[in-house]
Amino acid sequence: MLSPVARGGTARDNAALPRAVAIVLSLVAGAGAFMLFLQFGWSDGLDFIDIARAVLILISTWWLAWGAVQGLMGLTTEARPPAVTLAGPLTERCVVLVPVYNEDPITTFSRVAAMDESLQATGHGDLFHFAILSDSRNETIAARERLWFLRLLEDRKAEGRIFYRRRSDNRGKKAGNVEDFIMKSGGAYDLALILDADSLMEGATIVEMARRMQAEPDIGLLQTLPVVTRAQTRFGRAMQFSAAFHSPIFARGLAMMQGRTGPFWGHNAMVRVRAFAESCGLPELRGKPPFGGHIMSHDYVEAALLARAGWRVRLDDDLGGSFEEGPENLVDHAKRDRRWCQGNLQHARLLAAPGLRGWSRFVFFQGIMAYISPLFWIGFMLASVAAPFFAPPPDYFPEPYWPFPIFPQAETSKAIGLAIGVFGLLILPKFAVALNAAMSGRARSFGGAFRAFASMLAELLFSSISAPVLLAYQTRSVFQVLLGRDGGWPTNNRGDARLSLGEAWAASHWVVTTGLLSLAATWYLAPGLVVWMLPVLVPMLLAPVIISWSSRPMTGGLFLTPTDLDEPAVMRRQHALLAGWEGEMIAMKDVSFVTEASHVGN
Amino acid sequence: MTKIATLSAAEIEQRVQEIGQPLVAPLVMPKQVLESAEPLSLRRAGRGLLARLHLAPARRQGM
Repeated sequence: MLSPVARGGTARDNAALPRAVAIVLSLVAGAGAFMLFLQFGWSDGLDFIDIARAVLILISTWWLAWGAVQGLMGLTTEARPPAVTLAGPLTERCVVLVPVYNEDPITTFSRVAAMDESLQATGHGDLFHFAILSDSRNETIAARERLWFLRLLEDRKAEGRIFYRRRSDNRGKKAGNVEDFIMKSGGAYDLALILDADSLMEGATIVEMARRMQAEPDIGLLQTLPVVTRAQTRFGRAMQFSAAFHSPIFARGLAMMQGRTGPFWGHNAMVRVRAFAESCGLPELRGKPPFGGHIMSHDYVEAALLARAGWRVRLDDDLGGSFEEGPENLVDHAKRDRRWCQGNLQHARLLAAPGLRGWSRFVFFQGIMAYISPLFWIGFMLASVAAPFFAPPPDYFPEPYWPFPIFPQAETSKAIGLAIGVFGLLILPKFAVALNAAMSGRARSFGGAFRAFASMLAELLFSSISAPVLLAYQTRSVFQVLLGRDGGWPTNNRGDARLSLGEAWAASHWVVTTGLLSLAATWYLAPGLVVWMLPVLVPMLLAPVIISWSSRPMTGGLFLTPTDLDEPAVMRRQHALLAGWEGEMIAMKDVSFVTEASHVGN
Repeated sequence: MTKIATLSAAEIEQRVQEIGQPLVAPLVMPKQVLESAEPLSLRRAGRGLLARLHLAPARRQGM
């Protein structure tokens, strides 16, 4: 039986101090907000609703501070390659797994072709195979997959190197798809690179990952930081910029705290096949979805299981050449988020799973908090609206025998200070990242310090406007899951992202209605709070406009990212291959094939 | 390419079956235990925490 090699902890593993610093700092921030709010409530006599509000602000502020501290910690060091390097030649055999589910085969297979070409160029191509693992249920798409697979083989002369198989049922979804491959073919490989259909990686990066895993045999999983690319719309470009500009810093902070229990984000990561096989067979949970059944967000669980078995799970944030694509409009983002919400809340069932490391449990808790934290803010707002009904009448003569009235101390300045503090936690890390980028020269790859700063401000503005709408979707998702509604496994929409105002209205009229009702209720119950609620309620009332406007193509010079200014070779090549194949669709009889398959389907 | 374009859907499916199948090299992937047999109870969790902190005796093991 293979087992992790016993090793002493390295400097990279020593995460106790960063974890302690992050936890203490965020708790201090939360406790500060709590105390300030208690003082605020004390001014007119402390009651039950004041304590409830203070507790809600404690949890919410702690959560915001936790994210902010992670970002600020990431600024204290730089991403560096590991100290251990492979001395001898690379010998371990690796399979690149490309799970697909009703995707456009031309686009997906052109990525495989580009990655294969890039791998062959490294001189280590003979050690790598590709396996396209289809779970597509649409017969037309499956037929097109087979057609373009033959074309891929012919173009790349890859018979015996690139494989394709389609499952007869998609039990266990993506995790089941990968598991099926490991159980039938895993014995032929030492390593497996798990991708998504929209993943793209440089051959040199893949080879370097294999070298690192061969050099350190106790690593069970090596995660890269994928960069979002090819966004076209305003929403997509803002997300892409944010991911490229801020994520490496936040990932650095995360890497400092990972120890031996780093993250797995489900794709663009390499696993040791035998470790994965021995540790990551996922059971079905008792009961029905959404909390029972197959495990939806399998990646976090697989990382926890590898760590439980003694394997190291590591994020190497110094590795470049790892790309993915993201949702192009707010509605697609919300659909993906619905799936993630269900998956993360399902982890509540696993918090007490036997033998897990403490940090793995905390990672589950973080995932749950990411989705339920809006509920604390909403609870806080509702409690604030209700507070005037619980407040005692002011007592102007609290001192007996004192003839002059004593007016309650004005606490508005403290309330404003608290609001500024909370807002500061949201924006401080972003400004710090921008400053760091300008000083370190990193901003050059975003079009220069001025343009990077302007993009950061524009992204901040856009995320502030869209956040209430996204939070509305997120809150609805949480309630749907808690009420037992299974969201299923919808296909990712990777096509045209533009949404008309009518389509946006159809997707968000309930957000507008909720905003209107909330505004009316606040106006009636606590008119003094209306101004405070407007930053949340106005975007909700304008949800269809925000959704439709942000789904339009982006023009202008903002939101430039390094991949725009210097397109990586593998992306360039995939573009060219895709253009060539799309131009040959008629010659390939792809169109008539669709018709033929449709007739069969009918 | 020309050759692929002349194939029917059935012929393409046959060809993919012949040359596309991954290698056969089975591995066992045992299902992991993620849920304890007993449902989670606050009392049990509290007792476990106290035992871990050496504030309460650990449950006696049967012979």
